[in-house]
Amino acid sequence: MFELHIGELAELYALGELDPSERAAVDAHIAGCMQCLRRVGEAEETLLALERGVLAQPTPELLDRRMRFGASPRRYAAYALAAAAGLVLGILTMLPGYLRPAGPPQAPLLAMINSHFNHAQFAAVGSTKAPGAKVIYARDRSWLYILADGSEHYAVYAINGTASTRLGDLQPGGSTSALYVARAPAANAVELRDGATVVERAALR
Amino acid sequence: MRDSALERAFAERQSWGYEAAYRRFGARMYTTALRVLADRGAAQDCVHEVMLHLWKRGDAYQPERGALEAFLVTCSRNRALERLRSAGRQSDAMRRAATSDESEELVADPIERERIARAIDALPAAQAQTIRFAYFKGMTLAETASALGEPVGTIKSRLSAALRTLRGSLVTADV
Ligand SMILES: [Zn+2]
Repeated sequence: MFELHIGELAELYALGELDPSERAAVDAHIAGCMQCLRRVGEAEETLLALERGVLAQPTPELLDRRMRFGASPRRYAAYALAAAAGLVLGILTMLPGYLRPAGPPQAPLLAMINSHFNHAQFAAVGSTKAPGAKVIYARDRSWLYILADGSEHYAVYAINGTASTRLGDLQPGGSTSALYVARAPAANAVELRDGATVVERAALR
Repeated sequence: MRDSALERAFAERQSWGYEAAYRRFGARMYTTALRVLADRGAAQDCVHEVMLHLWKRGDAYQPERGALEAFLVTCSRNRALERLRSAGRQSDAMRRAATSDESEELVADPIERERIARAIDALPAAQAQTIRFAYFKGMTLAETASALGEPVGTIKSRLSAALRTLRGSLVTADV
């Protein structure tokens, strides 16, 4: 595709202005050309310098405050999950094979790494005080991972039209509670229930 | 300062490298995505998707490319742009982001802002205008081209030249 090197496509690549076929061609070229790889890296470093001048990085205090008291507390679940992913990755690969635990929590992480997934936020039903929660699920619906703030043991139901199936209960661990469902039934929504009361619901796309 | 041990660990797909990179650079990745998307939750999802995608791919980064932080922040920005554009929204979100309550809490160091403003002012006028539209306002190449009444190809060349010149004035040895 290129006569010799990628030229100005290096900067356009870093800026996210190439279409997918051009991106793939640049990826293939820089895998074997140190000169162009470096030119892409230089463009990325320039973008970082520009970003630093546009918005400051949130301080740890601000992030912490937002996670606990911010306008979107339910998003805390995303942080918790990403942090858990980092930790699980770390622990898993540092342990010798025979010491690696077989059950969760790495099951949801491995499922996420190995398949395409979507996210959906739970929305409170009625005026109940619903904790922030999200569901991450395989696009083919082969698994679901529900994560909520706090340590409530809410029951998790898969809703399919008018039918509902109890999948299990959220299991508290640290500041969040979670449930991983390895073989989820067909569903267009997931509900968290406290006894007979529906606390919150997430629609699956 | 670049951390060569961390960069090597990340390149070799060692898990501690991913974890440390997430802790060190996650906040900057988030801020960058937030500026594009103007949605805290979407920005967080974006960072999370980038880290998982890179872990899956395993070979996307090597230290010879440049600073790991720059690579990750660029990945985050590009993922955010993809989300924005696939959602059919254009650059409105970025214009909104510039005035959202959150970005007020995140105003950059005034000295840093001033340094960048001066570097951009020092560019040839056409390049400065192009980078203001295409980068800071988040306009697409087509939008920038029509706003400036120039062909897209000209806009591309100007953006590329502007970035290379800015590198000289902004990027110091300790990226
Ligand atoms: Zn080349």
